[in-house]
Amino acid sequence: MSPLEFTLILLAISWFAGLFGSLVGLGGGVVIVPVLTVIFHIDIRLAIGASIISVIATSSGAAASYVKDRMTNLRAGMFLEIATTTGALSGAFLTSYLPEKFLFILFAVVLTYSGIAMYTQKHHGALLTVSNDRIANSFNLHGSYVDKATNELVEYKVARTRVGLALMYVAGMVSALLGIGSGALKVPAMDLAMHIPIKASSATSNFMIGVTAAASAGVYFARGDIDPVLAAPIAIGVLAGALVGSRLLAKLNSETIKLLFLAALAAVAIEMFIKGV
Amino acid sequence: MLHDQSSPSAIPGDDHKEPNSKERQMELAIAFILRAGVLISITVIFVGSILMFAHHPGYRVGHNHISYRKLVVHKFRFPNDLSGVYRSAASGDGIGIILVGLIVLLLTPIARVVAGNIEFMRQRDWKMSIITFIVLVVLAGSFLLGKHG
Repeated sequence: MSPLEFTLILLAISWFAGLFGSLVGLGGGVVIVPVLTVIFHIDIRLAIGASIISVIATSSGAAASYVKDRMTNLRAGMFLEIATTTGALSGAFLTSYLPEKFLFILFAVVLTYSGIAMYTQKHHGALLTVSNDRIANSFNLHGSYVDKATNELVEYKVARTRVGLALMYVAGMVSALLGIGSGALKVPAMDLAMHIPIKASSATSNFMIGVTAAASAGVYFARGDIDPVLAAPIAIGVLAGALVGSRLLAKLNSETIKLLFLAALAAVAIEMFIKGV
Repeated sequence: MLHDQSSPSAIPGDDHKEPNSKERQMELAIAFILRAGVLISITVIFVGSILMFAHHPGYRVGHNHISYRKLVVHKFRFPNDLSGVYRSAASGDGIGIILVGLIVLLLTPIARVVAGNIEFMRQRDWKMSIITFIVLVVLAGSFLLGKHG
């Protein structure tokens, strides 16, 4: 296969990855890394480097609209970034010491977890009107947003910032190790542990993903793991697909898509696991 | 009185209906930086890709094309430091230009942390200024340490 054909195929696959990723609320990274490694037999480190670039593109694009719509808790996001970026830095370092097989198995585990989390997002942290969390009060991490469905102002208090920080460190590390946004880890950390409402949690997660990915992408770039031939079509394709996906989101019945995606995730997880053992 | 304590006297022309107009300013600045960064980087990456295929007939479809596998392995060399990327892009090489776009993309979220840091300092919110500054130090560390790690 010539490089041009390969680029066009990657562009198409990335477009679908971005589209379905944004429809079900998972990033394109969970699709890109398995496609590159399992189908094209590309070194998992180069796959992760290319994927992390696409994560920056999609999350920045989406974050811009969420911030404009005032859904994002800027203060809480910027505060938690201390943990996600240090986690990402640790993770990016660990990759050079960890065996490839470990990365495949970890990917399979995180995929399985993300799939389950995506399908069972039913229980949420209760809305708090008071908080005795000293960090949240001191840095004033509390927030509010206007719910588009009811047009009501939802004000909330943030709790358990320390637990949030610890979970964000782990999320940052997983993001760097696997080249994914790891929103599936960030959202429950804010929603369940810190009592940030789910809509604000996902907007704030998106906001942090770009910076987290940039922290590990710096290491990958300096190491020569970001191959421009891979990264270019993937960044363009995933971003274009995600843009279409976010427009379609309101019009589609997401249950069917979720089920389809879940089946795909399961297949990919098994494939990655087999490559790991 | 729902105004925040930091701005008791409104500046003429300030929007009175918006109690946290400073916050709004930061939101709009951040949204602009993110959008502009993505738009510029994707355009540069696209142009670089076109040039790459234009300059290398062997990358296109034909009788004597090379295999894509040669370009997507660790043995395939491309610049991985700023001066190398600059030299490559300045010579008009498509791969160098793609890398410039990728670096712009990488700098986009970092730029919005800088914007947040400046805005917090202007608001004299020293606690959040320090927090955003630490994040910037970690980000700078990723570039520096990646070289030696």
